[in-house]
Amino acid sequence: MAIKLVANYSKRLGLPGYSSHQFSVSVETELRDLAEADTEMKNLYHQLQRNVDAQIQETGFVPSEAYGSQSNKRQPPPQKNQPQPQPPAQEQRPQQGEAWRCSEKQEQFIHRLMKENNLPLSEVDQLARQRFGSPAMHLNKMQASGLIDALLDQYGSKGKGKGGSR
Amino acid sequence: MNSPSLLEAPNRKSFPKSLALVAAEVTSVVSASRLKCYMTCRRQFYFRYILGLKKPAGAALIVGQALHRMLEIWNHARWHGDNADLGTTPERFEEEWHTIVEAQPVAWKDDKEEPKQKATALRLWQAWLADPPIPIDQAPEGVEVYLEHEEAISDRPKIIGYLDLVRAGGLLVEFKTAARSTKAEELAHQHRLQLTIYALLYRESTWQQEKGFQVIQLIKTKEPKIEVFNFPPATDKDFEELDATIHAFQQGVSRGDFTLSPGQHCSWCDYRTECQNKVATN
Repeated sequence: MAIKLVANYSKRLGLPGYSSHQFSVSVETELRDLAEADTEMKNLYHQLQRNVDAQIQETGFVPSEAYGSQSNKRQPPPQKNQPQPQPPAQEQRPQQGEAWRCSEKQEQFIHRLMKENNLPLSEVDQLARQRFGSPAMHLNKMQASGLIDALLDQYGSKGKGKGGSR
Repeated sequence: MNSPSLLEAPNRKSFPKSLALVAAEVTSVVSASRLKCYMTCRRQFYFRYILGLKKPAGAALIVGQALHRMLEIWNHARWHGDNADLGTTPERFEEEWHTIVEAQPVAWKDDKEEPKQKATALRLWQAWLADPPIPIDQAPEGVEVYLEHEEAISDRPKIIGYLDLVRAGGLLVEFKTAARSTKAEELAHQHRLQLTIYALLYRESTWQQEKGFQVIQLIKTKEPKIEVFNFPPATDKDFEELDATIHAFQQGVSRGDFTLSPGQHCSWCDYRTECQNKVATN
C-alpha cells in the first residue's frame, strides 16, 4: 500500500499600508516505506521554505496607505497634505463624471438627505465650501462626516442614526 | 432578563447558540469601549454586551456627558465663527444638563447629589471658559467626528469611533473628565488602544498621518484643574498591539470566554451584584 505524504508550506508577510501578501506551496508525494517519512518531511519542509522565501521577496504592487480607502473609482486627492479650507476657486469645481472622494455609504446618505429635503447639490456644495473650502464631492471621509452632521443640523434629523448611517 | 439562569455566565462548553449569535454580532463591530470593557473584565462584558443588561448612569458619567456636550457646542461655535462664550453660558449649561439627565435613568445617591454634581461640572466648565487650553480663533478640522474603518479593505473587522476634536494639522484631541490627576505615562498606557483606533480611523479617512494626540483632562477637584498632555503619532507597534487585542477579543468572545477578572475595578463595576450572585452560586 502506497503511503501518501502531503506537505504544505505557507508564509504571510506584512507590507506597508496595512497590507500583506501570502504564498503557499503544496506537494503530494508517495512513500514506499513509512520509515522514510521523517527524512522526507524534513527535506520537503526545507525545499518548500526555500522556494517560498525565494518567491515571496517579489512584493509586486505595494499599495500606499491611501490605496483601498475608497472603492476604485474614488481617488484620494493628489497632494499628500489635505487641503485646508480655501476660498472657492474655478479648479475646485467638480468635473463632469468625477467620483466622490468620501465613502460610498456617505455619498448615498448625502444623496438621501438631498432627496428628502429637496436640496440641490449647489446648496450642499455651498455648505461644504463654508466648512471645508471644497465642494462636497472633494471631501474626504472625515470632512464628509462633518458635512453630514451639518446637513442633519440644518435640515432636520430624518434618518439620523449615529453609526449606521455614516 | 427575568431568568436568573441567564445571569450566569456560561462556561466554554455550554455557551448557548442564541448567545453565540449575539456574540458574533457584538464582535463584528469593534470600538474602543467594547475592547476596553472586554480587556478589563470579560464577565462585565458578558453582562453589558451579551446579555444587554442596562444600568442607570452614574453621576460621573453624567458629569462627563455634560462637559463633552459643552465642549462640542464650544468647538462648533469656534468653527462657525460664532462667539463660543455666548453659546455656552450657564443658562445653556443648565439646559444641556437637563436634557442629558432626562434622556436616561440616573442612579443619584440621594436628593443632594444631582445639584452637587451639577455645580462641580459647571465650575469645571467655567474654568475652561476662563482659560481655554485651545486658542479660540484656531478653526477645528472636525468636531465630534464619527468615523468607520470599512472591513472590506483590510483583515480588520469594522471599527468605529468618535473623535472629540481634530485640531489644525491633524492633532487628535480626546477630552476626559477625572476625579484626580494622572501621570502622562499612565494616561498614555491607559488610552493607548483608543488613541490607536483614532489614528487608524483618521489615517484611513484623510489619507494623512495624524500630527499627534492631545488628551485634555478636566479634573473634578474642589479647585477645578485642566491638564493637557501631548503624545506622538501612533507607531507600527501600536497597530500590532491593536490587532492582537482585536484578535484576542474576537476569539475570546466567540468561544464564550467570560471568565471572572476580580480586581480593584470591581469596586465601581455596575454589574457587581450580578457577578457576586453568580460567584455565590458556584
